[in-house]
Amino acid sequence: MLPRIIKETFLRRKKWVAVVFLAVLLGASLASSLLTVYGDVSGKMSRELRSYGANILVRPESAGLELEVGGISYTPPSARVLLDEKELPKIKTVFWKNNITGFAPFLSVLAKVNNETVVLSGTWFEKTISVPQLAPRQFANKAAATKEAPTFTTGIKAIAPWWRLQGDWVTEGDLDEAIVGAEVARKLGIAAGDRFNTDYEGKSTMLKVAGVVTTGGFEDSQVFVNLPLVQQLLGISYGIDKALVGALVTPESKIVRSIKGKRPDKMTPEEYELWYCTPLVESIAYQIEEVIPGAEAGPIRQVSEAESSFLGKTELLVLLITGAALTASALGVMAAMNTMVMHRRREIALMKAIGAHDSQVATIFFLEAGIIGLSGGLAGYLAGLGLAQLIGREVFGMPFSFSSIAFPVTLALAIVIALAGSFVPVRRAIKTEPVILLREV
Amino acid sequence: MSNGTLIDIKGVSKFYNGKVCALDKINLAIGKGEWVSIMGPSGSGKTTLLNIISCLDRPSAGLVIVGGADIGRLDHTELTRFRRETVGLIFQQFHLVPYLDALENVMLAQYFHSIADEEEARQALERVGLGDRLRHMPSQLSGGEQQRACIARALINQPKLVLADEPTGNLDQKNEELVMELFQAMHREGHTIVIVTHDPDVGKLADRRVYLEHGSIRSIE
Repeated sequence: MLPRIIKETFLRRKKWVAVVFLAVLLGASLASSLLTVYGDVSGKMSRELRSYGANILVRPESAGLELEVGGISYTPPSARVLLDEKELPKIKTVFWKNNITGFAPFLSVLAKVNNETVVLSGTWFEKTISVPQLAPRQFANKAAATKEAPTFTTGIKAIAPWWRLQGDWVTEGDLDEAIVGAEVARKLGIAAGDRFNTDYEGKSTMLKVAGVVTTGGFEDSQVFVNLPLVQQLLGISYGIDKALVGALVTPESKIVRSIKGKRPDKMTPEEYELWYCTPLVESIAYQIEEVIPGAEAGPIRQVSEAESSFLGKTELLVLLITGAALTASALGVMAAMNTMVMHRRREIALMKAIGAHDSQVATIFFLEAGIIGLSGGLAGYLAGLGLAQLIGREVFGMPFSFSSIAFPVTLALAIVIALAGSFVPVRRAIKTEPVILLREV
Repeated sequence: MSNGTLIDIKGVSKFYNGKVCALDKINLAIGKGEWVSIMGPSGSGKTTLLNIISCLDRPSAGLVIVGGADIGRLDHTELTRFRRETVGLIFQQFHLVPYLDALENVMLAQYFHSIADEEEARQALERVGLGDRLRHMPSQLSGGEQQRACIARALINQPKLVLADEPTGNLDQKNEELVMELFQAMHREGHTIVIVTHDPDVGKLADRRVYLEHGSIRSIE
């Protein structure tokens, strides 16, 4: 009996059924697309934000006692605590290794150029490294161990793609070239292609300006060369002051409140597992400390906090828009269902007059709404999927990955929209005494 | 005629919007198995009285006891259950669901009561002479046929009390006779019947005729 009534409703009230279906479809498609975007936006935005600099600083454990101004160590070379740059490839073996977008070592000295003191920083510009296969905390079989080690290209170009360069990058391994900060170039009156002489404790080096970099930051007043050159000036065969790491991270708001700000050693095993397995800037820094002995890694607060706040706000915005779309959709359903119920008041009155209980009448309407919700949800999910791909391509230049959670959540939301939108009209109709309705007909 | 009282109406009044008096202190007792016609001019309160007896409406004052239950004390749910299990309603306008055929209209009452039984519904329609119209939609039935389908629907759940509001008001002479024969059969089977009618020919078939005027009982014959 019930299927017959519902079928007839759909056949006889096509127009209003279509209006409810459309209202659900619109809400569901927006929810579906925004859920797909929500699931992937952190990753996408984080990837975009990585273009604006590294977010983790790795230093020697006891470097905190050194005299450092503006990121440059003023401690005498003999007293400096250094990290071994050969350990850096291990960064690509941490639990969240795939989230590491790049890293670069830095070793700085204060050198003289035409009686001007400038910071001479040794680094990697675009270095291809071998990633160790047998990482700590991982179990690897012998077959894997004998495979050729995978490589990873990293350096300044990877962690600071936003550098505006006039000229060329320094060729990796070339100890005669330098990239000069714009401020230094202006003071010295040099440009790309020019040569200049540097002096560090009596050791003179002639360098060619490969390019002039403008960042608006501290880089403008430094000179960047390949790392081995600075190591030669310091008379060491290895060693770096620090390394900057770019990692794709998720906002801290993603984890439960009880873990926030807690030290790993104070966490319960469950909290620790959750924290460790979430790509937070703190947990990735912790994992870097695990693989590099004697290193102290921490988030670059200015960057990570701004990033976390930005990502958090972006996600909140997505949620708010989804909420607003669903509310608008439910209101549309309510308006259409209200009209449908009004058109069927005679039928409701008759059902009640011949003994239908309120719940039986409500069941008919809610089942109809549920079926429309389900079908609208299915159609909305597909439409939303398309919309999400459009947003992905237009805004981020790549499609969003398929979200397994979006499908069931969209269907559930669509049914909830349809039922919630029907609640007020159905309640009003079934609460009306049948005698009043019978008098009207 | 009657074996005890089924309906006991004591001092029942009904006001609309607190002002318009539709019924004024009505006292009436209807016995089990009795057939009573409620007659009177338009606006005399006939349908209002019927609505109160059928639990579709509540009195503003007074007591209505049907089958021992004080229906004024029943809540919304209990009133619905009481109506479903005790009362069979027949309307002047038939009020069949237009998109269900005759059989389904009868089964609808079964569905709301307990469980739809197609065979039982078919037998009910055959009893009112619609055995060959089971799958006809209301729009394909004549007025008399629609009213007979309405009677089959009213009787399908074996109600103690059958209430009819102008059941022949929209029928021609031939169909009126057919329908009244069904009422007479119901009466013989022991159903308590209350009919609201203008028609003296219909009224005279009842055991008693209650004449209303301006919401009060003018006379009982």
